[in-house]
Order: sequence, then C-alpha cells, then structure tokens
Amino acid sequence: MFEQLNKNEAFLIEKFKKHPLFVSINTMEWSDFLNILIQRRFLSLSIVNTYELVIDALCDLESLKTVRSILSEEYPRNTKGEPLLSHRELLFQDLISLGATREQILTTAETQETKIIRQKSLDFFTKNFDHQYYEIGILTALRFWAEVLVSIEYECLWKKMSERLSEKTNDNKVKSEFYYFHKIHDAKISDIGNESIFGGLTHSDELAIHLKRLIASPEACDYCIDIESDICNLKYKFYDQFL
Amino acid sequence: MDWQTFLNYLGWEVGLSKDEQSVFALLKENTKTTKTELLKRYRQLNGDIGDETFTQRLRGIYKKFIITEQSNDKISHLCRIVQERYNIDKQSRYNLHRFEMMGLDNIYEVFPLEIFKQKIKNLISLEDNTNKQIDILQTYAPNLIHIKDELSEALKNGIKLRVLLVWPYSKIARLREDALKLYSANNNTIEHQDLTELNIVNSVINNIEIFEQILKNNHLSKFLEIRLYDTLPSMSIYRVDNYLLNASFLHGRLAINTFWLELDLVSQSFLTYTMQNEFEQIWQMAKQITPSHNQNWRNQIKILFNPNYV
Repeated sequence: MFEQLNKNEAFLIEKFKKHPLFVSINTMEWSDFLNILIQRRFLSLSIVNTYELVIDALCDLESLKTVRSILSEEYPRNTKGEPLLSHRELLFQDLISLGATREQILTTAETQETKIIRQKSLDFFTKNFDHQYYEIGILTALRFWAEVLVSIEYECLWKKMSERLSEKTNDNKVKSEFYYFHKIHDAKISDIGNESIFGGLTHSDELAIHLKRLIASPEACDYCIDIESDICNLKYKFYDQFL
Repeated sequence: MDWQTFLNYLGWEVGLSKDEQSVFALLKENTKTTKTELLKRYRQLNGDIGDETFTQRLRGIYKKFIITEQSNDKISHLCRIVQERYNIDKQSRYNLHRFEMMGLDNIYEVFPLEIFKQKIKNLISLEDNTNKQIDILQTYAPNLIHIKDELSEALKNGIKLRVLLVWPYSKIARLREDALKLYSANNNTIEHQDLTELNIVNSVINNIEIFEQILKNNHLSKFLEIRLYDTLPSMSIYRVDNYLLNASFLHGRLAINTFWLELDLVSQSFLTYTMQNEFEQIWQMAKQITPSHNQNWRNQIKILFNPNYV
C-alpha cells in the first residue's frame, strides 16, 4: 500500500534536488549564498511554532509523544537538567562560521516571498480540519515539510557550505554544529514501512512509523501523496525567489 | 584426598574422640562390614580390646553421625553414609579443580564493588604499570559514579581505560530498557530496584558526562577511549589487567544486581578466552566518541550509526 507513497516521495525528492539554484550552487557568490541562508533561517525559526501547532492538533497519543520528543530535542539539556545551546543558537553559530555577521543575520528583513511561503506552510496544519484524514495529513505535512525536505535542502546547500564547514573537528575548517547534523538526523533513510533495525531512527523515520500505523487505506495514501506534492511545490518556490 | 585422609578429616568434622577415631579409621572404601569383622581388624592392628569398650566406641560414632534407628545393621548404615560423603567430596574437589583450571575463582551474588575498587588500586600501586589496562563493557554502568575516582586515578597513572557502552539511540537499547522496566515489577529479590522510571538514553549520557568531567579535570584523553555499540549487548565485563568480572543481562534487574563470575585471565582457558574475545569483537564493531568539554558531542552521538554519517 505504501509503494505509491514511497515512489512519489522519491520522485519529489529528485525533482526538488534539480532546482536550478541547487544545480549551480557551487558557482554562486558567497554573499548571495549567505543571503539565501539568512532567509532560510526564517523558516527554521518557524519550525518550533509548526511543531507546537501539530502538538495542539494531534489526538493520537503515540504520535503526539514522538512529536513532543522531537520538539524537545530543539532545546537540549544535560542530565542535571541544565539547558545547553538550542538548535536555534547552533544555527546562528554556523551562519557566523560561514562568514555572515551578527548584524547581517539580525537586521536582514524577511522578504515578502519568504513571508508568504512561511505563512502558507502553516496552512497545511490548519486547513481540512474536518477531513477524515486530518491527523494523518498533518503528520505527513510535518514529516515532509520539517524533516524530509529540510534534510534534502541541507544536503544540496552542504555542497557550498562544505567549502567553509566540516562534518567533524578539522584543523582547517570549523565544525558544523547545525546544518550537517540536520542533514543527517532529519533525513529519510528508509521507505515508509521498511525501517532498519540498526542505525537508529531519524526524525523522518520516527514519524514514518506512525504514518505506517495510521494509514489504513489507499485513499489515505492518496491524500498524503497530494499533500507532499503541494509541500514540495511550496518549498521549490522559496528557492525561486533567489534565481 | 585419599580414603584414609578423608576418614581422619570427617571424624574431626563430626567431633569423634581419639578412641572413636581409632575404630572409625578401620572402615574400608566401597566395603560393607560387620561389627565382628571390624573388631577383628581392630585387634589385629591395635591389640586386644574388650567387647563392651569396643561397642561403647561404636555407639559414640553412631550418635555423632545421627544414626538413631533401632536397627541391628547400624554399621551398614554408617558405611553407606561415609561412602556417600566421600563420593560427593571427591566430585566437589574435582569440580573445584576443573573451575580453577578454567580461571573461575569465585561467584558473587551482586557486583563486588569494593573488591573491584581494590583491584584498580592494586594496579595503580604497581611500580611498572606499562601496558596495563582496564576494560568496561556495559549497556550503561550504574556503578560508574562509585568507581570514577579510582578510574580517574588510574588514568592519571597512565593506565589505559577502554569503555564500551550501548548506543543509546539504538532499537536494542530501547529493548533493554523495556526488559528492565517491564519485568522489574515482578522481581521480588533482595537486590530488587524499581526500574519503571528508567531512561536508558539519560543513563548512558550520564555515564558519558562523568567521563567528560574526568577528561575536563585531567586532560587524559590519550589514555581513555570510549566507544558505543549498535549491536546485541551480550554480557557485562569489568576487567582490571588479569582480573575479570562477568555477568549476564537478565530481565527485570540491572547486571550489577545479578551474579558475577570472577575470573583469572592468566589461566587462558576457553572461558576467559571467550569473554575477552567477546569484548574485542564488540570493540571492533563499536564507534568512538570523545566527550570533550564544551563540545557538542550529544548531537554527534545521535547520528553516530546513521549510514550517511561520514
């Protein structure tokens, strides 16, 4: 039953990767590249709100537990309960390491296009409230918008970022604490319904387990396919503004 | 132990008098005897003795072996008891010898914390501890907090410490957490500990935080290597040089609260070899982490076994 959904995800991911901006990313000027990342930061900042919105909207207790757990990872603590650097702070650090200035990050205004994309992304979690697949829909949207495609974005952007950042501690480059981690930890590794025993679960895979449990009919699958296609188009448009 | 020595030992153990022992020592291995035969044998060896005196000595022996029935064949009963005790003793001694040859020195009901700490201290006090090492294989070590000072001291003295813990984000770690939580409620043993609130991720991370503290204080990272494994946690091992403690991961109770085998690695038996080999095998499969202070090692741990992680 999930074959069509998995196939569609693979198709959308490939399509998204072929966005002209990603294809020519290595030839881009660093000032332009940083500008994209600073705009992209507005979407990152809104992720927390998106997660909070889904927590309020979900009634399924098992998936709620997972969503709550993923959100709490954004604000890690040590085992004494003392707060550590939040993912937002790590993002800021990476931007500085890439060459952006504090002033640039803090004073650059959100573009009209970014604002529209960000607001439209929230629609996926509020529209169709009365639909029988509403909860499946918002879980699908959360997974695809905030995890699967995010990791693809960072994978594509990493080609340029890796000129200045490294995956691990390296003598010549600063270690990436945000982008590289999310490129790996948010990614879809397994097809829905086919998670591996070893290697652990990424955020995409954790949410996929609940989709596998909740999607009970081909109609529900089709509903998810439509949502993911719309999400891919919206995210594609975000990058169109920089062409 | 030969038959005659055994009779001397057993007579002493049940509290026979010297006179009673002189009669008792006449029993023969695997041979039923009668009072008449025994008396004859006594007279041949020790000279004459009155019937009544001899009978009194036998009565004393029966009493101490608690042979109380009104049987006319008490002496056969005595022979049977002594023979059975001898057979058991022979088997036990054989087993003890066999276990010793395998390197098995002792079995403890729970983790022998003080003994283990002492073993570390002994290793530290050696004049030359070059090439000496300490190994720990656990899912997470609940007793780490109690041995951290000794481990820290060992590192300061240049002793290598290798630590293997379960990768806390693995499915297997979650399974172990469930096996402890679900079955601890049914566990009524003395060492029972309520594990229903156990969180294996926090427990492993807490262990790593202790090592982070040790590294921060001592800058000893070249002697300490920590690796995490994403495979079956088969057994727990605490090793100090040639001294090794081993336990299994049972349902509903922490390994430190189950029985521990104490082994001497000098024996080089199949038992000690198997345990050392298990450690080395997991060590090869495991991945290294370095919990440097002020480094964001927690995120690195999360993606450690992700197939896309470089």
